[in-house]
Amino acid sequence: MARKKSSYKAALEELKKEYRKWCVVAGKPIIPAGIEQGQPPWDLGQPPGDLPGEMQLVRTPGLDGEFSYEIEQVINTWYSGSTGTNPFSWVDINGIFTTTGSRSGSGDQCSGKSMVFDTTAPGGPYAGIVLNETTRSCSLVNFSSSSSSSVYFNSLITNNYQYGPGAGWSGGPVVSTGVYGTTYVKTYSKGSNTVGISFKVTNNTPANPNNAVLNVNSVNW
Amino acid sequence: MLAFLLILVFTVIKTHAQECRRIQPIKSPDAVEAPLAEGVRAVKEQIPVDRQTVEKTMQKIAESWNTPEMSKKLANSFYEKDRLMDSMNGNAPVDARLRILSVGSYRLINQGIKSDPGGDLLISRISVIAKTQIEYNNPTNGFQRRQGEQEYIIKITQKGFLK
Repeated sequence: MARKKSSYKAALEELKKEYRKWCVVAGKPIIPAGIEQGQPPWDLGQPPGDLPGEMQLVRTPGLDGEFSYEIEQVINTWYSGSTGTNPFSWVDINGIFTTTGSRSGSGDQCSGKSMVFDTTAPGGPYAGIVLNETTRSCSLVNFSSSSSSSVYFNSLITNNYQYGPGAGWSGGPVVSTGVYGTTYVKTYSKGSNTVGISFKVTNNTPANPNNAVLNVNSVNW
Repeated sequence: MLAFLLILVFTVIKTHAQECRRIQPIKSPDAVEAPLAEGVRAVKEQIPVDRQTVEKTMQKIAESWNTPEMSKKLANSFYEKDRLMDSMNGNAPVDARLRILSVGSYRLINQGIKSDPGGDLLISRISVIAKTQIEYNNPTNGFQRRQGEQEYIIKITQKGFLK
């Protein structure tokens, strides 16, 4: 037992010698005691600009020369994917500003509005119209929040799609088949509130093969 | 003799199964291929565009977003330019702004020189990676922001650069 312990100690000392020989800089502790003065905290990693292609904080220095510019194309990076908002994409612009009803706080925010949605998104429903009978307001929502839609749009296939009333709403009929490009006028109700909606869903285009568009012509309470 | 014939047959089959390695070009945006402008002559050696100019350009792009200047800064070849401007004019709240969160790597795609009475113009087509954030106030939900990361293909014209 004692022999095993002594051989273990000897091996450990050998290991320490090797470590000091190869890994320790003179005058520096073996294990850093903390953050050196003037250095960023460890969790911030490398200072910006030290790695090729790394993001850098924007500086706005003065320019010596006169210049002009023109934007030719703006596309999402592959790692941004579908989750990133492209400020130069009409689809994204429609998506963020029409789904949140940002132009007014209440009232009819759907009439004349359209919303682009991704027909390849997992699950569904893909799009919806949310009606608030208390404020008599309306908003368009995408698939991620349309589970509570008053009217939902789902099962998008080649020539037609399905739509129907969401939880708490009735009318329609309940599940209807719609044809792309055809305008429908339907009446939905909840309690004593009845609302007539004129809408149309247009299919994808060669330029945007994964997108369909929900157009709401009018909402009448 | 039979063995020789078998070897010959297998050799022929093997030879047919081979093919020369072909170059499959990676598809790139059309804008990259378009000529820089009329009357532009190519540069013998590319002249670097400094980072400050690129960052300043990105700031100007952000400042002009959702303003009347925005459409003027989009090239005629910008894909669905009219549709974008219709969407902006129809849907974007007046207070919506674009913020550049960071400017990443950039690369010079191509470059040319155009003669001008005021001095030659250096025209550079550049690809820039930038992180952006759309910011606006929603009356119901309050302050909103939408982040994204895009590749910008921009054409920078530096005036009097090569006097």
